[in-house]
Amino acid sequence: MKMGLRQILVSGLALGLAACSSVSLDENAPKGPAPIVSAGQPPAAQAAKDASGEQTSSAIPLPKGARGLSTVPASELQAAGFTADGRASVYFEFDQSVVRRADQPIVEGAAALLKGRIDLQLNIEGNTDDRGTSEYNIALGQRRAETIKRTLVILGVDEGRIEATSNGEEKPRNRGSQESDHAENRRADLILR
Amino acid sequence: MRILLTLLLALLSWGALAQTSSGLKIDITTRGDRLIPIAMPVPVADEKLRLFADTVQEVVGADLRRTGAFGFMPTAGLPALPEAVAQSPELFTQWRALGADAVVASSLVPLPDGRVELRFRLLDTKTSQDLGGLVLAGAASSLDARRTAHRVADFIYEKLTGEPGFFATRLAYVRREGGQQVLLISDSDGENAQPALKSAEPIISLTWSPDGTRLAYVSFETGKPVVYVHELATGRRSVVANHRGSNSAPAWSPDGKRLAVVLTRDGSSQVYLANPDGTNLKRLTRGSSINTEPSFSADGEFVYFTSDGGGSPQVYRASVSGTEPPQRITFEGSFNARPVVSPDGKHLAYIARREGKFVVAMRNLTDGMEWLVSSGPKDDSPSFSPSSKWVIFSSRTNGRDSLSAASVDGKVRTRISLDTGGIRSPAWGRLPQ
Repeated sequence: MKMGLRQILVSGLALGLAACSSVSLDENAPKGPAPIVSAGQPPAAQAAKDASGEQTSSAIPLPKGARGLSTVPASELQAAGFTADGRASVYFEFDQSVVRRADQPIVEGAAALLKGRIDLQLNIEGNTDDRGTSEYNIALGQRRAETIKRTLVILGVDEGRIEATSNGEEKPRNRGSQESDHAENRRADLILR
Repeated sequence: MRILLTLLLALLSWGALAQTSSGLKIDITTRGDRLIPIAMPVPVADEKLRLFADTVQEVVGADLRRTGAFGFMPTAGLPALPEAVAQSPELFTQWRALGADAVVASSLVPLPDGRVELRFRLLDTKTSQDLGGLVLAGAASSLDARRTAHRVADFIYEKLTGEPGFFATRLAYVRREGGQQVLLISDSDGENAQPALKSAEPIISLTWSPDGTRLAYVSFETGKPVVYVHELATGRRSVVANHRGSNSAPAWSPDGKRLAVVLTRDGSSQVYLANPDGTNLKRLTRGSSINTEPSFSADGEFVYFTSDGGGSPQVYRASVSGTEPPQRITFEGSFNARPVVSPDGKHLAYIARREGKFVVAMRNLTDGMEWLVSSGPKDDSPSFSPSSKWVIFSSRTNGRDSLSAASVDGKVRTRISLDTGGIRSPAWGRLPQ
């Protein structure tokens, strides 16, 4: 006796309408199936601005007329340690957010690119391995991204051109559970736009 | 010996039934020390109600068995026991002799409008007492048979243990299906799962509003963590926090009027308080260390949270009014995080690293005693049942995500497995009032 959604909805309604002396089951229960939402549909009350009126879109808008990454030759990106599509990664020790000496040229290369190309914006996404709790790892990934952001600001990049966010342990590059897998996930991705 | 065998057979047969249903499967992995045998032969006035009766019996039995406190007797060979039965001393003696500590007298009848009515009374054969009953009416559907059964099981559980039941409650969790993340709402036993949100990006940190009508969660659908509130009846969603940086870790105040969230707009992760629509934002924690994973105390006056300000992640407590300095709560080990307060305010559950494993720890907030209720190796996202007697949490073993539950005293532990895909981020909520 498999019930279709429609049948359940109809019986739920009938139950709600009927007057009865006994305890009706759905006085506390949801009436019929709830709507399914696909993420990416704009939420009804999507806030383009937060309570303080600050712009809160998830990506920093490019300046008017800016063409961003498309204007930068691949050779220039690669010379700075980035891929041709404008990405580079920095790796971290367990529970640490200090950039290792070996990875410092990546951060310096990012600073040089951003200072030389006023069109460019940078997103920094911090990541962690899956040890610990998901929310603490959001905070740890954020600290990794912020460390790089602060270094770039010290190197002379305007803070408004950088957004540091965290994926925590939610977007592992490697789902394995060996230490080498973990090490691949403890990183920050620098993404030029 | 005979009773033991009957119980064993009953448990085995219910175990077999649980294997045949689809969706989440919930099995006892550890059992408490006592089992109260219960019988519930449901007399069926109309053969068309046989399936309804069987479903009620199956679900009541499965609910009670899952607590680890009850055995449920097979009904074959048991005498009929209508709800209006004369409650003579002989009746109690007869059922006591059959091995039942408690027996449910019931009647299932069709109503003129096509609905079904279940009347039942719970009889304690040891004290020869009538413990009362309910009259429940619903559609003649398997959905309403299940809902009826959860209400019956709640009644029996409360009358026999003195604690409120938790079967007529709901679970929210996220299941990974291929490349998709699906937020599902199901009954407390994992049945009747309905999707509420589908996304290509992670959804984490689900938490129910105290009235059971809304969920707050973190979704990465825009490319970074943003906090939403989702009204389930309408599917209407609103953004609570979408500031520069990451937005995460929502937690409701007990009156549902405030949300604690974690924002990084000033650099480090800090706890803020906001109205559920995101307005009236106020920063709660200070400093530059990580302050995250807030959970309100039951009286709403304090927020427990994780901070690494002392060198390692530990649980602290801050007063919402800001009149007292934050106080450190955990001192055992080098990792104690993700605190959550039980609805009755008596216990704090959190994730502790013990001997290299991440396990669920429980703390009595009155005397500060701590004990472990899970064995790891990678447990996360503890969430209390509305009755405060159980905690559900996610478990990752060999890269596979499933849900588990444990009684607050740690005596009963159940594994909740799944036929396909990994499931995470459980949240246990009550039905809307």
